[in-house]
Amino acid sequence: MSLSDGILVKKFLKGDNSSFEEIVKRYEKKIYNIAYRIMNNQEDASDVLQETFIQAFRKLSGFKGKSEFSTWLYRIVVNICLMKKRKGKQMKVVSLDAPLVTQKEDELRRELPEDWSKSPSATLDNKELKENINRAISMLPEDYRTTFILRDMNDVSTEDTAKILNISVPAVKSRLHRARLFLREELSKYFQEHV
Amino acid sequence: MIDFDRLMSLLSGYIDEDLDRNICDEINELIEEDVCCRYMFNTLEKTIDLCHDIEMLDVPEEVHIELYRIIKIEISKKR
Repeated sequence: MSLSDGILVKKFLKGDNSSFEEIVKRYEKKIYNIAYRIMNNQEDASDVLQETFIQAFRKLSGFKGKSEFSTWLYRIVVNICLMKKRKGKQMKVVSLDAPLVTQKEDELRRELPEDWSKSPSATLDNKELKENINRAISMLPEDYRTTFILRDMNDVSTEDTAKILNISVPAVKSRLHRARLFLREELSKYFQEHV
Repeated sequence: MIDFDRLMSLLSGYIDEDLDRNICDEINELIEEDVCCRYMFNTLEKTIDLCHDIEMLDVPEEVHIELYRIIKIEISKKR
């Protein structure tokens, strides 16, 4: 049976360095993928992965266990990504009030095609669809994308996402909803054009 | 009574089971009765499922090796 994160952290703090290697092994892929989705490229994701675990190693003695270890670690990776983006001046400021989805009821009703959710092409075995999903996620404004990555792609709770991003729970819900609607719209376009 | 626009603003909460029972019941009815609402719900739920299930990238071998090399250096500094 594998040890919990909390036990591994305690062992590490008592001097068992192999526990930290176990933590790295456990989270390496997740951290890399979060970084990749936020940074939108593999080179930066690799740098962020290293920086995240170096910071975690150096700061772990200050971890009080008030939150889950994973929440603490995700906060580090997200902060490094956002710092890196600010340095690279890639930061896009998008207001939460910005109308990401502009369609009104009439428009949505007019566009009503078949329900593509039941289409045999609506599967991840469909390479083209997968590419479109990845492209659509990368197109999301950063605030929305980061929220979506944590909540819907990594199963982080709404409350923990709020802690990680230092925003309110309603803000997480609002960003997540807008992100989902945007992605749904992009996938609908794909099904209208290609299937 | 929930109209289409209101449904649009509530759908995520409905999918996440984050709404009051009464509102959920109203939405259930709406999805049952209105094809447009049903289409919105089905496609939004499918979008979320597809994104959730998309597989993670593997960490490239050279990145993995470099990460462990750096961690070992950090550990040796700590000693």
